[in-house]
Amino acid sequence: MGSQSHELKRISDYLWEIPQRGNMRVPGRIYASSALMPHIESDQSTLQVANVAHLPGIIKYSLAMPDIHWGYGFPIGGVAALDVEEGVISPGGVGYDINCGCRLARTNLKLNEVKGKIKPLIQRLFSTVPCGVGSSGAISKLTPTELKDALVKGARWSVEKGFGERGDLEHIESYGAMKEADPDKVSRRAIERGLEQMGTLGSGNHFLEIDVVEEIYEEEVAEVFGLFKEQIVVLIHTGSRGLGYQICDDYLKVMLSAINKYRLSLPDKQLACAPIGSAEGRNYFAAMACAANYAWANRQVIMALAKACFEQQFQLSPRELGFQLIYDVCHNIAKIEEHTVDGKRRRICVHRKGATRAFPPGHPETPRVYSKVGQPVLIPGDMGDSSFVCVGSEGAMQKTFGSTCHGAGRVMSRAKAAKASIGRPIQRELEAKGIYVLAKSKRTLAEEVPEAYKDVAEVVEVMHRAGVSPKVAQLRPIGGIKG
Amino acid sequence: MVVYGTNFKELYSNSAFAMFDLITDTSRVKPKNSMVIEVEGNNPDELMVNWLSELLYIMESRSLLLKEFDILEIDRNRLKAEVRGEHYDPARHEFFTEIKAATYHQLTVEKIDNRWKAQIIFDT
Repeated sequence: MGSQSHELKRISDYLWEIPQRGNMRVPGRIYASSALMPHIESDQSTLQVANVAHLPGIIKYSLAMPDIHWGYGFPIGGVAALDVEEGVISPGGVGYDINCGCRLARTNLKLNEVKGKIKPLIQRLFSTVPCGVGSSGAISKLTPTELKDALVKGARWSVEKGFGERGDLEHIESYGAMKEADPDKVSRRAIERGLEQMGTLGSGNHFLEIDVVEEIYEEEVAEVFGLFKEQIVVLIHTGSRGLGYQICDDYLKVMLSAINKYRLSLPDKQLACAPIGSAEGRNYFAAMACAANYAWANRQVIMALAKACFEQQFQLSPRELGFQLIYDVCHNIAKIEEHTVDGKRRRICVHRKGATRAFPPGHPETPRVYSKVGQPVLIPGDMGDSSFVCVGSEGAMQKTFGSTCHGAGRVMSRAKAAKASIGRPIQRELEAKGIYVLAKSKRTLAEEVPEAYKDVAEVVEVMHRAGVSPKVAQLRPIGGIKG
Repeated sequence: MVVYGTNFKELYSNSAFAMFDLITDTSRVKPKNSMVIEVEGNNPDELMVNWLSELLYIMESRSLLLKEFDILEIDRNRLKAEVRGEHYDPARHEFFTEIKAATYHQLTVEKIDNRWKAQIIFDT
């Protein structure tokens, strides 16, 4: 571990710097407001930001978003950009839940049209979309060959199996598949863990939520996204499940031995990594891409299941219902991207761990339909709290390697939250707020109580004011299902 | 998670039990199915992480909840154990917490006075 305390220099209202010192190769930079700073300083996450600044090949800054909190090696809410030639890649910089992400679908329904129908809809979703720790797929167990096909094709695999439409693919980050995926780099164990979990929500902070568009901040952008006030939308938050955890675990072991092999000097073993171009680095990237593709396929299946529930519940034609994918974006991933750094185009491996891509208008990776306004950015709130739709910007490219925050960020550990909510009827408390939630485990509800999280509105506001990801709309939950 | 054992062997069996007690109500799990597993590690720390990871993998890939862990053989680098539990039954078993992985973060396995102590942090 590096030293325990780090001096923080205020750069602007929403930006703080950890000056470069010792073996740090770059300074650290944290986006936050004065109100959020005490939370951030209360755990070891600022130390972790400084630790990441020691990585070989890191460019400009070790960055942290306002929802930063302590994570394994790298902080959650961190962005690290590493030079493809000289830099390293680290599983800890991506996290266990590879391509954990969000997907937002729109409908033509308005709040007043669903009154009295939310409860039966949620019950229908709860019995259709498998959730919870032990849940297995809505589709029967895959064979290893089928699964490997999914690991290459990503969301396209699900579409080919009848889940959703081809047009959905354009509304997904990387069109729902990273081409670098190579299933031969995925262990037998990871494959085994993935066979039964395709199309499952999982547990923890993952959810499927029915929201109503509460507020529109940017009319023009909202219109391009297909959003309007009082509209009913569906937000899905999940990732690559056991397959992703296993890939992370497998490659953390590989990287631990790579530290010695490549004589890397790291302040913390949990930053275990390997040069991007090394066999270890390339293999991890190829396996990580498989998990990313699995997660896109997974969210594609779940959305199709949800769409079917809506159709059955409201007895509307697809045209009348207007259920369409707005966007799917991940917040735990490493990507090879081109960025302009000090006037020069460079190929960079951007690690986003608890950070969302936020590409600007006109970027080749921003879907054509959104090319005039920028890529939709989806920021989920905690259970019972609002979620936000924001938009990528040129500011994000200049300041944060095209990245922004990913959610509220915990202020209470799961254990602490569960303890604090002992004996409380969480489900009824939420219902009193107009949110009907069904969860497989009462414990999950207790761990996810709203006070366990930072205020997502404050987090989103920081990135809005910092000129990184302007707010487009606020979504208020009215129902949801959880593991 | 902090776990104690009167000896090295008991520490590993207690750690496994404690982990499953976080995952589910182990009093509702019956020791119906058993299997023998072997795990290796370069040192006691690695052995601990590999042992718990192996159990998480067994749980998920075979849908097995475990509650009894008889360590048959153990040294600093290897352990062989017979583990017992039963298949997950949604009607009887509730999952409390999803553990993604046992991590190396602040991991300690040490002998303090006359007993052994382990500290393990899970990614949940």
